[in-house]
Amino acid sequence: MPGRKLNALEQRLHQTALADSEKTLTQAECDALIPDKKPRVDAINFLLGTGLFRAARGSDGTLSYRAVTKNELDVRKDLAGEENLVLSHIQAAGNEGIWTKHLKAKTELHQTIIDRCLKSLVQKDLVKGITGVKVHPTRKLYMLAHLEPSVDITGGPWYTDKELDTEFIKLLSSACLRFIRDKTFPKSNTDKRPLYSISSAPSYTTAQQIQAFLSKSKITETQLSVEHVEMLLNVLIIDGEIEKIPAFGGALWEASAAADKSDDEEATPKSKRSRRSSSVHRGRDDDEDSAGEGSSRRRSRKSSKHVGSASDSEGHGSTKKSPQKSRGRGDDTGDDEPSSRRKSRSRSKRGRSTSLSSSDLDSSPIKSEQDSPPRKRSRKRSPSPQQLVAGMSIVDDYGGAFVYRAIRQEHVALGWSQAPCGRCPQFDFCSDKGPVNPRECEYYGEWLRAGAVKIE
Amino acid sequence: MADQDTARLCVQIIRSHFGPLTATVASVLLTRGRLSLAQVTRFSSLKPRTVMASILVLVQHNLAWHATSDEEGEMIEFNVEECLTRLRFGQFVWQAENLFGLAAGEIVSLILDHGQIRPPDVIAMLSATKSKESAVYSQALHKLVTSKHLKPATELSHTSPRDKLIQYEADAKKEIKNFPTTKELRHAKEKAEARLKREKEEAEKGGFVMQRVAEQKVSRGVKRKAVDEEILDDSVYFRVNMTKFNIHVRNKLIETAARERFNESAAIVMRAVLKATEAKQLELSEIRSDPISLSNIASHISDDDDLAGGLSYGPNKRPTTMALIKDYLGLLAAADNPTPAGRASAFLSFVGSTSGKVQVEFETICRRLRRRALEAVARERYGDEAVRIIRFLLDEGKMNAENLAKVAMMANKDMRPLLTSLSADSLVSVQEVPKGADRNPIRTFYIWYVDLHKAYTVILGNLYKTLYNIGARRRAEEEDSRVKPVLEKCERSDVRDDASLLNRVEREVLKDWEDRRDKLTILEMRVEEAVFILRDLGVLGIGDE
Ligand code: SF4
Repeated sequence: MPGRKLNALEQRLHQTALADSEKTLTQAECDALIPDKKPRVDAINFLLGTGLFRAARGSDGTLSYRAVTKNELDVRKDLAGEENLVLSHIQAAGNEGIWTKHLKAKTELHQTIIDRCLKSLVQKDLVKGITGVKVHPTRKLYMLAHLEPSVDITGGPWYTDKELDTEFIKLLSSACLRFIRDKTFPKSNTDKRPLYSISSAPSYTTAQQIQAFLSKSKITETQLSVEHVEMLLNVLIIDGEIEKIPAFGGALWEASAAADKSDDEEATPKSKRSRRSSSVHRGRDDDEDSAGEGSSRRRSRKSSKHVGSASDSEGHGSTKKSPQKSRGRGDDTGDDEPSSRRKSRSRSKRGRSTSLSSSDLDSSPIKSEQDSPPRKRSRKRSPSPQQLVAGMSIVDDYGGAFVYRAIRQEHVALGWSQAPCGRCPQFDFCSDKGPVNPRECEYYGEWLRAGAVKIE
Repeated sequence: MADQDTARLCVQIIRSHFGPLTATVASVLLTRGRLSLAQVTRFSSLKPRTVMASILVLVQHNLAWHATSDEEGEMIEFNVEECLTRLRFGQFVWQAENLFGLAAGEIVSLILDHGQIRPPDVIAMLSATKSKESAVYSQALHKLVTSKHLKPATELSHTSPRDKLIQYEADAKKEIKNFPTTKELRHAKEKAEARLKREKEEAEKGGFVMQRVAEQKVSRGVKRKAVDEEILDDSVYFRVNMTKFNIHVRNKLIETAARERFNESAAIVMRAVLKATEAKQLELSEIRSDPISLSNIASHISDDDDLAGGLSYGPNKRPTTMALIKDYLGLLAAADNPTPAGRASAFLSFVGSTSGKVQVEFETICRRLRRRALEAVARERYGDEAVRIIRFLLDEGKMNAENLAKVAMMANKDMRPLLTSLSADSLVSVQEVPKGADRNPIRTFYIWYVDLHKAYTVILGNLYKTLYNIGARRRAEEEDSRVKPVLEKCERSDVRDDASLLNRVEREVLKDWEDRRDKLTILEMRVEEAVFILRDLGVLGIGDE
């Protein structure tokens, strides 16, 4: 025990530590408090020596000191050796608590002694006993009186009074569901149950948005983290109420939809197209020098098809396939497009034909141009969603970019549940010759009297 | 051989369709398995003549297979599947009527009554009793055959496919020189299956439409396509191709599922897709349909169908029908959800990168429908929580109760009894992993999982039992002491002609009985639909579940 009073530095350290919410100071904080090394070490050593400081190592290995109040110290002084031992073990367990059995094993004291120690410690208000909830519901755990039990023991926000609060969970998940549904289905007063098409879909909700919504709403005081919300959402997914889709899913579809649009427009009589395309072909003498560029661009595009190219998949997605067709398309759709676009297109066209004549991708480009075989039409198309997906093999790892969308469940109408037998408690017992049998079955009697069968 | 519930149901069906004597024979075959004629006679304690006649009837209706083996001579085996399909006959007739008109319905009904029958007989019988021209009937008949709703009866359909399979497998195995590896064995099996399938197709094609009379024309005429040149071979017996009708049933279910999952308009598009590929759908076991183009789909959608109502665009956007269909296809293909879960919930898929065509993913859909049936049973009996458990287990594989409770956010104390009762119904199964050699239950891990095959089998058994109960009840109602005399009176020819011969009480009794019968029959039909989902759609992907 101290032979002298605390000096100013020591006083300051102790006070600051006590003022801290956790009553602890980290080494770094001490360093900041007393910059000079020598007096600092002396002061800390003195405090440790008197028992007013306790050294502890944090989970990350940093050193910290916990301040002990004078009162605490006094109480501690009165403790018998065994009590001290028990207390130190309880303290070491932190907010996880320690089970009496483990305490016994660690202290190697007799059960009765431990019981006695615990009793007196509880009386002195130094420790408290709790019953674990989540992992081992029956175990009696002890921890320091001023600590809050950790989430691992209490089970987090889902537990109230050590019971899984199913009502609370139900309330929250139905709130989530309502929120998601609002965002998923278009408002309508018809009974057509309309949906958003993929391209005109709104941005669906993320887990963060749901969390924000829950904490803003007056449903609960409990603060939920995103992980907690995700737990709820997971259950909703399994219940088949919502689905989790990658946020880029819509873009994926649009990429192919854009390409398809040009596909639709191009459904003009093929004779017309071939005529036009040949005229385009003829008029390709201007700016020859860009040909090289066009062809190189074409190659690079061929090798890389990814989502990002959504916008130009319309213009160029087809370029890698048969030349005369996209030429025709360029002309068909070109009428209402900005000239710059058209120009870039015509350029790539030119590049293509040059590369064709130089390489041997197509044996007779000119000839095929004249009779523009319709069977080949199906070949030209920009990558479909599936193909795009194949490009990104590990879709699930796609960051955290997932959104949630409500779905309507497909139930199969199970005729069985309409039959009395489906619910019958005697089902296994029921047999032809037994006392319970279908011929005289009262369940059927009732069912037959019960009015008309529901027409689906 | 079938289990008890199935056997009872089969006997009941046979009894109501063919009478008690045939039912006795069927029951002997069902409970004792494959028998020779002499054995059947002995076990059934009927006159040999009667047994003979019964067996003939069964064979005629493809309800009995015969097998001739060297050791045993001729043996007879009962065809359970075919028998259970008889519950669907009413629906088949109805479908035929819807698809091809009244005449076709009458034909199908006639053929179902007689098992298998030759075209001239069909025409003769129908035009004798009914008012319509025989030309109408032969036209309908022709349509039914070309659309494969009727198929020629072949010798092959009277032998058990399993026998053949075993024999072919043995043949294939003989070719393996050394000690066979598992791979070789599997290969042999596949080979045998392929051979059987080929043979079946061959046989059914052989007796098909073009026959001797028409043949000469074909061989010298270049115009092979002239369909009206083809005439039905009068010497071939035709029977109903159940598979084709089952395909219609399945497609209807798929359409309904699309309606529930999305909306009415999406269901219209789904139906159009199915219709467009229907002609090429020949087996329920096809994994996916042929690719089909957008314009083809569009041609199966009539102008009256409201597509615009089901999708919501911006206020001033008026998409074309084509664009609408395209968008529906995108929804049905879950095109914006490339995760595995998304793919498992799709109805269609886009084919390749360049064609813009779609395929119907039958396997995915059917597997999903079966799961839904399982979930419906769980929900019906144990509530939504049970469904949640089953889905978690199906997604995650095996789990212990604590983890399950954690992810499903249920209390441990609720979870345990639920698991126990689910496992009592075989909806979930448990694996015990003892920690020590003493197998003390306290020191044992209990790991839960869903054995789909087992679950489906148990449910099917229950459904069969229910079907039996319904049938039994219907018979009991019919034999009720109040109803029976009235029914008998109705059978009298004078009463049949003039319903006014019944007095008021009798008429009421009759009316009441008819109500009850109809209700039970409707119920039977609905239960049968569940059977269809679980059994007939199960031909896909049983191996991996
Ligand atoms: S027949 Fe009646 S007693 Fe038997 S299982 Fe059905 S409802 Fe139950």
